[in-house]
Amino acid sequence: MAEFQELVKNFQRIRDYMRQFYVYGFKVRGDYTEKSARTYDNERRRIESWLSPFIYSEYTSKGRQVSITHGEGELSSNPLFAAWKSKSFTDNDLLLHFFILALLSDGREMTAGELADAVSGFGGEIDSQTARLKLKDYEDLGVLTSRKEKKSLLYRLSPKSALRKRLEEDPEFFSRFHAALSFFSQIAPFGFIGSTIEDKYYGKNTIFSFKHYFIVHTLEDGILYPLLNALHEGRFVLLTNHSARSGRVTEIEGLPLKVFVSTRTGRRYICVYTPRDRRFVNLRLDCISSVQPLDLRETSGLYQEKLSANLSRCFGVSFGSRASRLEEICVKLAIDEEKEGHILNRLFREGRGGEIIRIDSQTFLYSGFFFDVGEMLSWVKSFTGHILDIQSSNREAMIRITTDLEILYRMYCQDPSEAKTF
Amino acid sequence: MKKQEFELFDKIYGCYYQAVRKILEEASRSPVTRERMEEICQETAFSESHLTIVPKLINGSWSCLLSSDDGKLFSSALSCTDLSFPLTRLQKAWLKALLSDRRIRLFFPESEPDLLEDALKDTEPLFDLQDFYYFDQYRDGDPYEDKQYISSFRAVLTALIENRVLLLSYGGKTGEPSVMEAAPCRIQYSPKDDKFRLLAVKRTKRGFTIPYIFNISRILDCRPSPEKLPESFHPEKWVFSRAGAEPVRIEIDGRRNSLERCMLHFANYEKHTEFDEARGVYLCSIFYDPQDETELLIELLSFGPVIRVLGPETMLSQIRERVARQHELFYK
Repeated sequence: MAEFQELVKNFQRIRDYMRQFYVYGFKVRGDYTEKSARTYDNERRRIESWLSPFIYSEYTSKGRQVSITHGEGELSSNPLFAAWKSKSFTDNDLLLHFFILALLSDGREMTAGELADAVSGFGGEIDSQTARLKLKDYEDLGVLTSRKEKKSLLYRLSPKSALRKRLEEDPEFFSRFHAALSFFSQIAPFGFIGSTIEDKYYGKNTIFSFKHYFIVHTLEDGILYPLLNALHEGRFVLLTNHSARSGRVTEIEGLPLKVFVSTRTGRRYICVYTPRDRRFVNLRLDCISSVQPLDLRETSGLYQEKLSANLSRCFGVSFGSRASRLEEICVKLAIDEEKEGHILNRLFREGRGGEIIRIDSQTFLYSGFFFDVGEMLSWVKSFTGHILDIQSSNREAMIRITTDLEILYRMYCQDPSEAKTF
Repeated sequence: MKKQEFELFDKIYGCYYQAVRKILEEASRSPVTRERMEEICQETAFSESHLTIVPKLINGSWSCLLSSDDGKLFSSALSCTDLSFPLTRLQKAWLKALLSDRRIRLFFPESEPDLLEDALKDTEPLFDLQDFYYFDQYRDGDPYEDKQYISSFRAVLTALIENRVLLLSYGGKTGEPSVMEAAPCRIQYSPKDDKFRLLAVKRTKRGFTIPYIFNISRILDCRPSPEKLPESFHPEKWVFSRAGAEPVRIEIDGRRNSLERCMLHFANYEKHTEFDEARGVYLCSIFYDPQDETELLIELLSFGPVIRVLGPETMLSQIRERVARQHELFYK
């Protein structure tokens, strides 16, 4: 049996398990049916090792449940960044890494052959071809620069930038820079990259804490990156999409135009224009397993303009049915403007462009036209206890919400058993 | 021109490299023991990493990086106290992307963003913030360009960095100013609210005793005092003390994809979920800060009848009251 390894070659391999442990902490070994039980055991052990302070496990009648858990606001850094710092390497990779940094640290230049010789002086065994490949690799990364002298290629560490000099010379600037890193590493897209810069300085965040912080979405950054590249190049992509509801796997061709982000759930979506259906559609990044850039390109300006014109009609991420008619909604709410100002504030700050009219000091009317009233219903239900009336051109949505409110009444205010039979 | 494509998942950023780096740097200053190496691995890498890293360094394929006379104390063969690598192109591209974020100005006085801009002038940003649309972010986010706001933010940041007492005049909900001294603990940011809040402890006659949350946008004036915080003051104790409230217990029947929706929606809370086989439902306990009770209540209501709140009674009675009031508004 192969020895257990903490590190992995492919990010994709661990992405799904990590997500499932985090999102669905209640699953047990037998619930993971896509791969073998042995694979599950290995991945579980790996994740337990990466995230040991955040692992919670308990035995149930079905088996051992393993979950990744943390309290709201307790995190100073996203523990799932561990996944991005787990790439496997060879002995030569590691040895060359440290020999390059140490031997070139005083500004010296070296050829691949000189590097290999120098390493052998320390008792290491590296051939010059391996050294050459590593030096080239580090030049591509931006760690080294090279220049040609006669027939030799000389490498040295990239020169210190003005930024690095300032960081070394000005402790106050360093503190501010570090604070900015601590913040943006957790908030900005691709935050794990900021965390690798923090590692460079052995920095730890002791300044910021975060609320409404959804850490799992770092796992999608490997999908987001090629999508953003395609977006900038105006290039179509072929996406493999796993439907969260039906489990169906489909391939979708589209032109990426924008990343929709929910701050309430952390979910991110890529908005693409699909030529087959001639419409915009949002796809969840966590449901996309692969992105294949296509040769087909198109000037995205026209689609970007159309999308911008449509954004105000999206309450969330839906562009409605193919008929593409706008749906109207009117919600009359009982809000005491003197005593319940906080609820009125919610209406204004969460209403996303809907019109709000004051009827009197106790009554307000919210109305608007959106692509899909159906996706507003959760928000409308959050005003339970204040809704005087709801009207909409989407009859189905109206029936659903009024039925839901009635079931809620039976569940909580009458005999609970009746609720199920409604 | 084709944009440079980066490999995001690269070994150079790995925590094994980081652990070995730290061991070698420390060992170049003074010899280290095996135990110290294991400790560094625990701090810097994963929980089982020391089982691989330390044997390889002591007598395995990486042993040429260390030297030892007695086999107990190890020095670095490289004699280099800084083994960090220059910023990679990927790291620079990420930093460059931040420069278009208006919040970057909160951290740096006027000329410093220009220094950053200049240092990264040959770098293409990794992403463009214009490509992101935060569709449900609240519309009353903080005024990041407001001079007083910037001044308050920087004063709070300085006090936190330098462990100083903060003197502040606060507008609060009423806007009526109150002057106080506080020990800053953390700056809290919420992407949903798009707001920064200061988590601090107010000073009373008995010392720093009252935890308080200040909206930075409501601070009328503030500055760090010359007084340092006492060494006995531990901000983590105030910020991360576990909420004492009983968890909310909910039952999820799985209709309308409610299980996945719930798991994702409440992913920011500590929660435990199990499947009740006899009844075919999922039971989920959500741990929350009592200050967030109303917010959680609203979130629970937004799910409608696909979840059922089982307790605690305080939460349940509020739900009953709202649901009953709703019924009355509709039918009476």
